[in-house]
Amino acid sequence: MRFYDKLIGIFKSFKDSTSNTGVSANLTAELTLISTLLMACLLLRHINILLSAVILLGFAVVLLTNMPLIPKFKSEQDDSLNKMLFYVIITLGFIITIMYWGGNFV
Amino acid sequence: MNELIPIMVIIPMTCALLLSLFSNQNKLIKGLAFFVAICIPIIPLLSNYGLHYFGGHAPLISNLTGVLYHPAVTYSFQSLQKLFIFLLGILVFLVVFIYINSYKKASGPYLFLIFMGTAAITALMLSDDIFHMFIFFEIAALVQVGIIAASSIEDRYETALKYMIMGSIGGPMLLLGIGILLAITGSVNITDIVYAINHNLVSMNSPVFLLACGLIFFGWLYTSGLPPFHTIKSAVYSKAEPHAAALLQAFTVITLVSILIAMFRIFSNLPIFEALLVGFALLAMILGISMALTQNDFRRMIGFLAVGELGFIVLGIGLNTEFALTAGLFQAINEMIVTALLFIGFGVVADLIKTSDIRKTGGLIAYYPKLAIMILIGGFSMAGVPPLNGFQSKLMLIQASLSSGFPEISIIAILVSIATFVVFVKVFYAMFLKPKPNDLVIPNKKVPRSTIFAMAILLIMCIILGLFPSIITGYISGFVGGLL
Amino acid sequence: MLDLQLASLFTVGFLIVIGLFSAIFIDNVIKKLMGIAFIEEGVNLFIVTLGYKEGGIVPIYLPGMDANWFSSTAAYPLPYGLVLTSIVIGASTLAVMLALTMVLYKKYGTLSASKMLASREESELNE
Repeated sequence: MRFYDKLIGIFKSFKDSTSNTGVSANLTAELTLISTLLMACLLLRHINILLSAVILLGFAVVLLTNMPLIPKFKSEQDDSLNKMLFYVIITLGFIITIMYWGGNFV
Repeated sequence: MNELIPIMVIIPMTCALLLSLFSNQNKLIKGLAFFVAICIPIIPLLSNYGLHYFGGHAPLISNLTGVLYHPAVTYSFQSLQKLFIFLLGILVFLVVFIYINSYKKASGPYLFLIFMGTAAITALMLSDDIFHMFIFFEIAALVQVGIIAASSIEDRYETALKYMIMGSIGGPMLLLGIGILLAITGSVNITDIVYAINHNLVSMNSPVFLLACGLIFFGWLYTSGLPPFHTIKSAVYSKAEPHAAALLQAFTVITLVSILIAMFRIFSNLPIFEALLVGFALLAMILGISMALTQNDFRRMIGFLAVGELGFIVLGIGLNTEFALTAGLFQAINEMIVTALLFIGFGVVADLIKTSDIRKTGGLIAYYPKLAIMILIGGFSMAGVPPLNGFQSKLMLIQASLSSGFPEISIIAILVSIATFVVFVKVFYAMFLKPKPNDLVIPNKKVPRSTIFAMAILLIMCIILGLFPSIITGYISGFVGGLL
Repeated sequence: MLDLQLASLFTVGFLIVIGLFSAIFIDNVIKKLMGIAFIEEGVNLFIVTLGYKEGGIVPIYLPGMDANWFSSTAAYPLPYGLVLTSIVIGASTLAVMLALTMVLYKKYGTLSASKMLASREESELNE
């Protein structure tokens, strides 16, 4: 019963859960997000198989335990300038770090 | 006739200035805009392949080193450029046609923006000079802001200002990267830079070169609206008028392709470059589709889908085989056509019923059956249902990723296509099939004929490309063969 | 004493970092735009610095000059050509941004970015 209760909790957590279509679309988004992200983790096997296994398992645990992901994702990607700027700067830092210090190792 | 190459940029630009000058005379500007809009797709068909050197400064051979270098701004016109400029011309024609038919009084400054954007994007596609590309991209960005600000949708100024603030971080970073390339190679001509890199005049492993790659990559993310810029880009699409949104997404696709090809020529020897491309492509696909599924505003939904589809193009180029590159560029062409069709279709519905919230719509199939069928087929094409064009390019991409040893990528691509289909099932049901809500007022207005005509032309293009993809892929593979 | 080119590059870094700081952390939109102008000018200064040459001359070829001497002492002219265009682009972008800020100030009566440019859904929830 615990898993069932959790599922009901997920339905209730979607903000626009007033209609059938809204809930099913949100659920599709949730499942697509989890499955595609886990598949994308598998790509790391081209670097190191052990690394990919560890990251895949860790990622799966994190994603499944934080189950209603879509409300969090949606609130992180809304139209507020501050949130957008935050992710832009994080990405700039990420790309420059990866390129400047890691560009020769791939 | 190589003289026609600069004419492709000069004609829309001159037309834009004239339209702005004579903005009081309604009939004159309507006629002029219509005439030039017909000319724009014809010029690339008449022109020959070749190079154009501005000012007639042909390439020189250095006495000391024997290296060929280009002193002039160079335009290079090849089969890919022909294809993209022709398609852009068709779209501009349809957009101008819709605009001058749906408004009694045409606005000169608005048409100025449309033609100036066309000129800038054409120059971006033709140019072989990376600084020149930056300049024309900035002009195109200003035009986009102008087009949003000219619409009548709520919150347009906020979106425009946000886009410009984000752009003011992305644009200078792109320029800084170009500056670093200029510093280490002494040139901004892409052919010269590629020559310097291939002949070991520049060290590929130097951190400065890698830094330039990273900065240009970041700037490119901004120009093409990939994550983390996908939220602002989809907001930009949803705040423009329907026909203008169709044009804006075509601008974005061409910007993405032209800067990506320039980056590919310069940096394709760096293995990390391809890894970054594939990573951001997957991120764009996943975030685009998951955000599109959760939206309640259908204009915003198409905006997110348009951004997500960009991921497929980048994926094809990131895989770096001849077949994958062809598939990616073919996908770019299909996306331009299909997304334009969807933006026009959904935008017209939103204009007619004065809302774009799918919770307040329903039962529209009884009022607009033609529109519903065309939107449905367009949605199928974007989701990759055979025999439409989206199916052909997505199939090619999946085959390409399988044959280059990445089955995970093909699985992700299939999952994303299925989710795209779900989006269309959801939005089609909510808009057309669901019982009509009582408070929805449907005006006694017909869908404008010009819009139906434009959508029909785009739909015919979708079906023809789906049945005979070799019309396009022949052009593309000729170009890709020269690129690799 | 620092080399002029090196000092100029340090200034570039300083300008870009200050600009990024104020564009990210300051809430007032006008101050954000000032930061953005700093970033743009920093990049322009970087491009100008590229053409600098210790003891170089203005790159105008006059009759009577020795071609080899000229090519070894003249500054590199390409960056100056590029930076002019870039300054014009930066100025027009800034003008459009200020115009949009003016319109939004009239609508909201505040210059705070977190009120003016917040997400629409968020502000609806707070009401």
